[in-house]
Amino acid sequence: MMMNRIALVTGGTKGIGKHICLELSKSHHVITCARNENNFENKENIEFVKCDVSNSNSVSLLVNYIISNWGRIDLLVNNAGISELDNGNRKTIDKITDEAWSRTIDINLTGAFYMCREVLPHMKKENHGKIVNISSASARFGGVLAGVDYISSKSGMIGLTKGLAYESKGFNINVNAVAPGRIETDMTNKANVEVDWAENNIPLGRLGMPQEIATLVSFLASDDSSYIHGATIDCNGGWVIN
Amino acid sequence: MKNAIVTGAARGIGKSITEKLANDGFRVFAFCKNIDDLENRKNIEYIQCDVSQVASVEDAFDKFIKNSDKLDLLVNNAGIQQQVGETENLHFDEWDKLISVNLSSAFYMSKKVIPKMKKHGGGNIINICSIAATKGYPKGTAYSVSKSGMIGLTKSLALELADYNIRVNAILPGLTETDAMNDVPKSVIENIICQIPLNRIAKPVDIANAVSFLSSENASYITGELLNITGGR
Repeated sequence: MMMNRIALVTGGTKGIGKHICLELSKSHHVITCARNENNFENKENIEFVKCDVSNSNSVSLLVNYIISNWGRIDLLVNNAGISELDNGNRKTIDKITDEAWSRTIDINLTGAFYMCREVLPHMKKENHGKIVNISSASARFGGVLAGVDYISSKSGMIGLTKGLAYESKGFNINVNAVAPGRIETDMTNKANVEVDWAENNIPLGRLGMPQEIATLVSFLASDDSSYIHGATIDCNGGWVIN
Repeated sequence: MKNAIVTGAARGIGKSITEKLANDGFRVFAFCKNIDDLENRKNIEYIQCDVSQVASVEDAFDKFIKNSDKLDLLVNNAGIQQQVGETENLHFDEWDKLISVNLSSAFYMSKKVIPKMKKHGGGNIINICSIAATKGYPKGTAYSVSKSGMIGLTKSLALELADYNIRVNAILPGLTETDAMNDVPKSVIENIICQIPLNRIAKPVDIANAVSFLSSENASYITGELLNITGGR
């Protein structure tokens, strides 16, 4: 039934985004985007389109392309994000330059804003839609490795989620956020962390797997979650108890 | 086959959870205070239990153990509403009743099932709370407090039991369409709906679907979480 549904996932060539695309491709035609195609692997039902989410013109072109080819967008997953470390350690505020701050905010938060601004009118027209914003556990408690640029951008995703949940009243659109804990990806592998960190710090005793975020996104994309709206759902192995 | 216990399974949200889990392939042991009008059917077996009484929980659990030693999922759903009224007029007996039916029951049940889950290498506990737990409930103090207590239970058990691969989560529904709402005037409900972005109150199946997700392997990294199902408010 859902096979004709169209999903747009930003930053889906690697890490969590890649697994979100794979999971969603079981039920959706997935269009994913990134600034370059380097890491993209061809898979059934997953299409790559080049797009820089921090550029509103690039976002507009992408959404227009999808609408003219596929007619609508049922699901938007704002996943694209960067996290800059200082040689594998937390970058403290004194080391965050103006440019670094803008880079992180532009991609992680402004990119999601551009996407929502472009996609929402099409969802409203269809009287149907789902938006899932990928936030972070660091936005819930202040983070260990992430700098305040990253934490601020991910906290902004929660505000964007709540505000749009209120604004989309009456259009049968669900807007929610997911806050992953530390997940095994290239991004977290670059961090200086002791091998037994997860065992000592995460109640479930391990890092999360990217597919464990993907299955949560898939639940939020399904009809089973139709009354969940404006929520931020933690998936962190018990690391952060809110 | 996986086994589940659902408390307060006769009506409303509990009934919907029981049906959904049975449909998912669980063998559901449905604990209900009154089972006279209930008939067992595929994957659903009713067991009489007043969850607010320790002795009754012991009896019901003995009946469950005759069927199986293994328990994969406990859903603490049993609960009663409070007669709405000013807190200075809230009777001590009413307070005690709300706390024992809504909160102490979840402790009794958890205490019984945890050893089984530890023995069999893991499990899942889901507590059905309410947004009244986090947002407050004017003139419904005892109800709100009982549900807030369940949040403490959820968080503490999530941390205590993670080493045993037992996940513990809570669901916080907003106002939900059940028999308990029959006495609420239509105008009051309409006034509430106006303030909900999704323009409707919750249906029991909205909660059952979330229980189904949290109890599945798809939620294997989620523990200690409070899942709000509010339609945006």
